[in-house]
Amino acid sequence: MGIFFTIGFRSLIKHKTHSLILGSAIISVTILLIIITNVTSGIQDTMMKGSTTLFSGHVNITGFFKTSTSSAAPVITDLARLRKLAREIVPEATFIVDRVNGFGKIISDQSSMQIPMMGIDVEEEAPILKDLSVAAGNISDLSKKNGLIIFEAQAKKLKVAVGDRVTVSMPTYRNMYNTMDVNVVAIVRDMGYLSNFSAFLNKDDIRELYQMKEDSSGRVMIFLPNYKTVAAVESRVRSGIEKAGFRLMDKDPQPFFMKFDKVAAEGWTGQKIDITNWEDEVSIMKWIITLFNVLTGMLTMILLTIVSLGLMNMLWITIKERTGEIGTMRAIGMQRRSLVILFIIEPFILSSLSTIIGIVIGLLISAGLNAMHIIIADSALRTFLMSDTLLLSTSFSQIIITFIAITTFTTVGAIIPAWRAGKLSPVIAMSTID
Amino acid sequence: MNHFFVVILFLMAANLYALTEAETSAIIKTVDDLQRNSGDYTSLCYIKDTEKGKEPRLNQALVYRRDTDNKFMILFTKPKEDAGKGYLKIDKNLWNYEPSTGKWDRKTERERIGGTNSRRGDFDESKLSEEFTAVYDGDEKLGDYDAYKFTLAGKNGVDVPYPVLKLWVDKASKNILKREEYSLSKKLMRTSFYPKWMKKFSPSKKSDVWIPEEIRIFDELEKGNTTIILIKEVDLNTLPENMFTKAWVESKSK
Repeated sequence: MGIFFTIGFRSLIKHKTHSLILGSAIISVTILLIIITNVTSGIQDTMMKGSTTLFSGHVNITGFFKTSTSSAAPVITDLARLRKLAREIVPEATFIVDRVNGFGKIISDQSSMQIPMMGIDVEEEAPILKDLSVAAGNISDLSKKNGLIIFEAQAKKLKVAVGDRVTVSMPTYRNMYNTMDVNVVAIVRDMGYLSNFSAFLNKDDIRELYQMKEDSSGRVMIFLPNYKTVAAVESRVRSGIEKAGFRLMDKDPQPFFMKFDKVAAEGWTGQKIDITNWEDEVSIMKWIITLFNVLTGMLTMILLTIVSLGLMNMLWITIKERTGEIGTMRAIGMQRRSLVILFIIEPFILSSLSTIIGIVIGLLISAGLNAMHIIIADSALRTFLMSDTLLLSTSFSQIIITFIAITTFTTVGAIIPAWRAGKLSPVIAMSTID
Repeated sequence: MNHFFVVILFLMAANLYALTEAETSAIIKTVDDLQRNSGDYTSLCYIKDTEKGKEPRLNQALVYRRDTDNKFMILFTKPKEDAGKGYLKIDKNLWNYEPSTGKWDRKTERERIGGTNSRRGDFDESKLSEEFTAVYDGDEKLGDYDAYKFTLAGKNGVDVPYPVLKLWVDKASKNILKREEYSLSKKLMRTSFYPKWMKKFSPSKKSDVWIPEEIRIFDELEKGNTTIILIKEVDLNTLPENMFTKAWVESKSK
């Protein structure tokens, strides 16, 4: 087999013009695909980072409390026990914290906005909040009561700076208006589209606004050392919580605010626990990933079809040009099967080498674009990419898939011309030699 | 020493004129009774909502009530894009109908009617004595009117959007002149003025019913946001039996 590779490689060098044209086409396609898949991976990473900093743990113990059949509050009680259970069920967890869910209005002198707010304990959450980039103020000031952390876009809309006083208005779970005057203690840099839906208050402040007891919260968030184990841990938490005697809600991969109507329409009262993961909490944004994947798939198919047709065409020409060579090889005893293999190996070598070069260039371009920290000025594109800067992320499995897809597609495209070459009669082939 | 006696005498005189708990409750009950119809009610309302920095919005809506059964309905008729939207209150549940989707959503007492700063309670029967406990704060002059001033606190177990109210009641007519609504943390949220009241004979009550002709609501959190409600064409005659249903609202929204 080694001889075929040697012949194939030498043949590619001999027909360097053809090889360069086709190789360049494959390299270009590979670069394009690598960049697109890196952008998709970047969105996915941004989504996970945003989700696990702003809203969710890798796995969450959350749920609803219903004081009457028609009510639905995103509250869990028996918090101390649930936290203890989370630690027992997931001993490998890096952090286990709890947050209070809030939704209300922030009103400044100039403007107002309706926004979900999370009640946090900044000391407990320090390792999680390190992903927040502070533009002004000090995050740790939220350890004191009556503080608020908002994102830059929100500060711009509210026209406030650190130290300014705003009013937070929230309804209690008995539907009474409650308010609290708080100071903006920190303004943090936007984390793409997701940060539009998040602000942080002191946990005790949200409890006071909602008139909640100390042993109630919104969610217990479990952070894992390896997020790829989410599915297994989620299933373990689900069965562990159920065994401990808590009533569970059926799995519904949606964020909690999408479940209000459904829960309010159900006939039960009291508490039911809902086990979710980080993807569920941002599932309404998953269409972006799906769209990118569909577009990448379609683009891949179109580009690879064009490249394969080009390759087939080039092989036809090559076979025509090398009819004499084929005749000679057949005359000195090369079998038809071996000739077919030779004509398949040639494009395989070409596509493999070109794909590898394309992957390397694609990765270098991706790294370069990341290093440039390109700020996305267009708000629609920011929404779509879920980030304020262009972020490309490399996925090893995606590289392997790209390599296999391109080499397979282009090699398969060479089968028919190779088979035709193998069918050539040695006499006819020899007759073309001048 | 003389000044001390003057102050004591003044306090005694003031105490003499202070309303007792029973008198306070009686006045608040009178405020409710004057507005109580005990039957069916229809009115045409114009709601003008002005938000700071935005063009004012004007809505026209029909309000239907069956006070005996605690039923309430608002059907928006104008502008064209809001026509067909509706609210229906059956027992304790307030529902909102969106004709473009054909969907009913359950709403709370805090619901901003049609996105304005008005609430269901602004259009419904007065139930102050049922929902609140009143304390007399003193007398105040409000423009040309002599008024009683009360502080009302929501009763335990009763769900009201604003748990604390301050009320200025006209001494002569016992109608509300001004109402301040506070959050649980005692922050002023809304101030409403009732500059005009009309009297209408109610066949079901067999006496007159007082109805506010105009309500001016000022948002105290977001200064500059105002809502004006004009109540016109009030009819207290009996409405068809089957009106207060989701099907009826949907049929009118087509």
